[in-house]
Amino acid sequence: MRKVLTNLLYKDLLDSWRNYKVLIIVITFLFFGLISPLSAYFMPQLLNMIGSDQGVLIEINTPTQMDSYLQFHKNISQIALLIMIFLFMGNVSNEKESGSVDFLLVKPIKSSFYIISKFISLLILAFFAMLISTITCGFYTFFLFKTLVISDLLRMSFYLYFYIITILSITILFSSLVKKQFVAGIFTFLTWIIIQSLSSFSFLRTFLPTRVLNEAHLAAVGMSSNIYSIINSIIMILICLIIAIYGFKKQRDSL
Amino acid sequence: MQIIKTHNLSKFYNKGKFKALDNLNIEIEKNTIFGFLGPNGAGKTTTLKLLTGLIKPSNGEIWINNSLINKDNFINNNIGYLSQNPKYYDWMSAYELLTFVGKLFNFSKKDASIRADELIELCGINDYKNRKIRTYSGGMVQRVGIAQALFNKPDVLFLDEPVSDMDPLGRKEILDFIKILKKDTTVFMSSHILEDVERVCDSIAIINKGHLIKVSDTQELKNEFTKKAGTIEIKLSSNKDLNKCKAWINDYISNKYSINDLKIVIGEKYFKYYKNDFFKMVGNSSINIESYKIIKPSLEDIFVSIIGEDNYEKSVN
Repeated sequence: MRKVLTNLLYKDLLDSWRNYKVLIIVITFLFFGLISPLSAYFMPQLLNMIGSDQGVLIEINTPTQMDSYLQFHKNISQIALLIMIFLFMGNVSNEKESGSVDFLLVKPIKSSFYIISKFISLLILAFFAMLISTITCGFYTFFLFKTLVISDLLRMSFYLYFYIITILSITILFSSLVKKQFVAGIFTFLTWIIIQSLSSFSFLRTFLPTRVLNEAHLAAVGMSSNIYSIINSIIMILICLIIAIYGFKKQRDSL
Repeated sequence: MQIIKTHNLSKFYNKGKFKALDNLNIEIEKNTIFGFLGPNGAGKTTTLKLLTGLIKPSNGEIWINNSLINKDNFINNNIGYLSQNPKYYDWMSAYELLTFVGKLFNFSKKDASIRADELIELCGINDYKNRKIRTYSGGMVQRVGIAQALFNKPDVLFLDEPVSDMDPLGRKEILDFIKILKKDTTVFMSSHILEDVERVCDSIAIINKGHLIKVSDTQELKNEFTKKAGTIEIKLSSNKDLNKCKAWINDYISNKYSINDLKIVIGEKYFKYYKNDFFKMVGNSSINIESYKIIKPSLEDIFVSIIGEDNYEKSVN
C-alpha cells in the first residue's frame, strides 16, 4: 500500500512539474524572498523621495533585519499563498470534472490514498518553496543589513509553513467536495477571510488554526513563540483531510 | 462457468423516483464476449459503473469470479475498465501512463516496462508511445484506454463503447483484437453500434429505460427473429408491372407493404402464406420481375423491433 501511495505521489508531483506549477511556485517564492529584504531596506529612502517632492519630511527609523522578516511574513502569507490557492484549487475537482479520476479508482486504490497523496504533494512543494524563499530572504537580509538572526528567520518560516499547509488543506477539502475548480477556489478564499477576520478577536485567536501566523510574527520580531500553536494547525489539517476523504467517498457513493 | 452474475441489481436516484437500473439479473459465461445494447439513457453506463465499483448499487448483488462484490471488498485487481470518452493524464505519454498503471498494480519497474511495451505493440500505438496524450486523436486515446484496461491481465474486461470514436479501419482492428482477448478474458462490452456487437459478441443483452428486455445468444436471437421478422423485396421492371403487382398485393395483404422506386417491400410474415399464389399470378399475367429477395433481419432490425415493442408496452401500461 505504501508503494501505491508513493506512485500516486510521484504522479502528482510530476503533474505539478509538467504543468509548470513548480516553476510558478519557485519563481513566486524566489521573488518574495528577494523583494522582501529589498523593499524593507529601501522603504525609508523611497518614502523620503516621495515626501521631499511634496515638501513633507517623513521620519522613519533605520530599518533592521526585523523589517525584512516582517515584509517577508506579509508577502508570503498573503500574495504567495493566494497564488498557491489559485494553482491548486482544481487539484481534485479538475480530475473529477474531466473523469480521469474514474480511470484511477477502478485500479486497486483507496479514495483516502488519492486525497492523501494530493495533500502530501502540496506539503513537499510548499516545503521546497519555503526553503528557497527563506534562504533567499536570509541571504539578501544579511547582504543589505549586515546582520542576520538565523534562528528568528527559521522560526518564522517554520510557522509560516504550517500556516500555508493549513490553508492548502482547506483548498484540498473544497476541491474534493465540489466539481468546479473556481468554486473550490472561492470557498477556500472565503474560509480564509473568515478565519482571518475571526482571529482579530483575541479570545478566539488561541483556538484558531491561524494562530501560527501570529507566532510567525512574534518570531520575526525576535520574541519567543509558542511551539504548541502548531497543534491548532495540525488539528485543522486533519479535520480538513478527514472531511475531504469522507466527502469524496460519499460523493462517489451517491453517483 | 459463470464469471459475472447480478441479482436484482438496481440503481435509483432522486430518492427512488428515477430508476436508472431496475432489477438487473444477468449471468455471463467465462471467456465469452457479452454485448450490452440499449438506446441512449437506457442504463448501460450505469450498469458498467456498478459492475466496476465506481458507483454503489441501491439494491442487489454483484458476483464476479464467485466473489460477492460490495463496497468493502472491492479491490479491483481482477478487472479492467475502459470508460466511455476516456480521459487520462494528458501530460503523460502512453508509455508513462502504462508504466504508472503497472506500478499501481504492484509490478516492478522492469516488469511494468515490459508489459507496457507489450501492450503498446498489441494496441498499435508504438509510433506515438512517447508523445503526450494531449496530442492524440480520439481513436488513439481509445487504444491507450484498452491497453491500460488490459495491463493486469484481468479476468473480466469492461468496455464502455470501445470503438465509438474510431474510423472504420481502426474499429475493425480493435474488434478483431477484442475477439482474440476472449481466450484469456471475459469481455463485457456496451455499444450502440449493432454491427460491431454482431461481429464480436457471443451473447447479448438488450436494455431499455433501466429494464433488461432480452438476454440471448447472438445467433439464437437472430434465428428467433429471422423466423418472424424477415422482409421480402420484389423489384419490378416497369411502373406497369409495379401497378399490376400492387393491385394483387392489395387484395391479399392490404396496406402492410411499402413501395420505394420500383420495389415493393413486404414483411415476410405477411407474405409467406400467399407466396405460391403470387408466383402463379406473376406467371399468368406475365409481370416482369427483375429481382426477388428475402432479406433476413439484421441485429439492428431486431433491436429496433424489441425496443419499439418495449416502448409501446410501457406507454400502454
